[in-house]
Amino acid sequence: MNTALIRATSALERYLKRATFGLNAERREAVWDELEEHILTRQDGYCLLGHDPETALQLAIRELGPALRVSAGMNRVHNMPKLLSIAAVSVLSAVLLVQAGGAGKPIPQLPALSSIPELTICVDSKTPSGPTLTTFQAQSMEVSTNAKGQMCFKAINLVGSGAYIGLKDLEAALTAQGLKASSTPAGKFTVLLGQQRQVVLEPEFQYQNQGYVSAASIVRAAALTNAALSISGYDSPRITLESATFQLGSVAKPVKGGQFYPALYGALLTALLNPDPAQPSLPMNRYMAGRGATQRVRTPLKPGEAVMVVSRTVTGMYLVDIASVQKDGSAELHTPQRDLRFVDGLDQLTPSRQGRVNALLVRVTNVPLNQLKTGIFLPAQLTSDAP
Amino acid sequence: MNSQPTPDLLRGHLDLILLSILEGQPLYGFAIIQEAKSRTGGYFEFREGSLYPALHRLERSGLLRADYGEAGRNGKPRKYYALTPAGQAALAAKRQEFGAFTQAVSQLGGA
Repeated sequence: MNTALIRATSALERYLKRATFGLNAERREAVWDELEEHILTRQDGYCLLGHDPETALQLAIRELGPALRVSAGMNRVHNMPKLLSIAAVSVLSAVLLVQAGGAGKPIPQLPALSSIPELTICVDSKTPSGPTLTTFQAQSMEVSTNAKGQMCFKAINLVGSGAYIGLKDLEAALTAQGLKASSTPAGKFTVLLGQQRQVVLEPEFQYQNQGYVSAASIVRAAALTNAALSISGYDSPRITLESATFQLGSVAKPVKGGQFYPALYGALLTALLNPDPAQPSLPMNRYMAGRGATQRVRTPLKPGEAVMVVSRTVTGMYLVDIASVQKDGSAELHTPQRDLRFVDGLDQLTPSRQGRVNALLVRVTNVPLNQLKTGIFLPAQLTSDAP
Repeated sequence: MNSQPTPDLLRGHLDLILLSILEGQPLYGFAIIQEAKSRTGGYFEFREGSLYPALHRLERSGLLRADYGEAGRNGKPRKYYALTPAGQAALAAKRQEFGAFTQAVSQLGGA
């Protein structure tokens, strides 16, 4: 091999290494072969036009464009979360700041109740007094009489830990960031998004002069409009709806991921399996929380992000768990199945009666909810065996 | 054809263009570029680096399937892309959408 040819070959290798950067080994080889074939064919064309092989190769490489642009395009298709973690974090952060109203403007923190307060309804003849439960979510109730002889119903064992947001607080946060939000006297809350789309929320209960909804129901209602919607952070989650961003909970009383994400399993699965908002949501009897074995999975995501694991039972039920990414990039996810094989396509999520079960890992945070599929990623270790 | 589409216009209709080119026959990447050029008198000139991610995206979304054919210039089998039934349906929908759009634009005047 003469010097010019060695130089040209190493230029080709350098280009292909960069253009396939970030892809897993198998995919990298396939993309490498495809691009190499393209460049060499293009090189032949330039040789026929009278260029020497070295110059022809340089021209062919130039035609394909910057290697990092090719790599970014391929990673966006095959490995979006990894790409974001290694290359686009600064861009994403800038977008979040813009969406929050511009750099320097603080993101509103909405106080959150972690459960429906203990509410007592006292009934005096026909007129109830005290706070009103619009949607009664208590699992059981205590009945007593008070000093006035009224009959009082006290909700006990209220639905477990969650994150409930006051609609007046939400309205203030959204209107301050340019969205049109309002409530009717009856408490119906509406956010107008343009193009005749609107997010509609009915208060789940009243407390201290305002209606409350679960934070998850804000996401579920917004997802139905196909709005620009994303979530960031496992703990102290932030929701971005179109041009507005708000944080659930405050520094003094933060919302933990475990209070927020379990109520989103259905919405996230629907976004993953059937992103068209015109189609019905996944019914509750089609999925359940993953329990059992602990899978410690190494991810390419940044600490504090939320990652979801999805698998299926032999009956076709989806099993879901969401966990926070730790400082070392790992996440502890729970599945009933002990041995998993990670796949990167929804069609590969087939139930299995024995042996390894296919499972998906999905980046949930910093991915547009209506493009949640782009959050699917493969970890470096393609299998996981729970201890 | 003298003028060429702006990059935005090309990007906005890339799926429609690629699916249209592949409607008649399966082709590999380089041949797709040649075909686009020759069938439109040079109107469509892709930025080659953006072609492959687009093909992979369409493949992943099930609109294209890939088959390997004869050995290419590097001795490895060439990757041919072909329309799937879902791709055929998507092409029909995109054509209808594009037709309605161009008709509406022409109704605004001039054309």
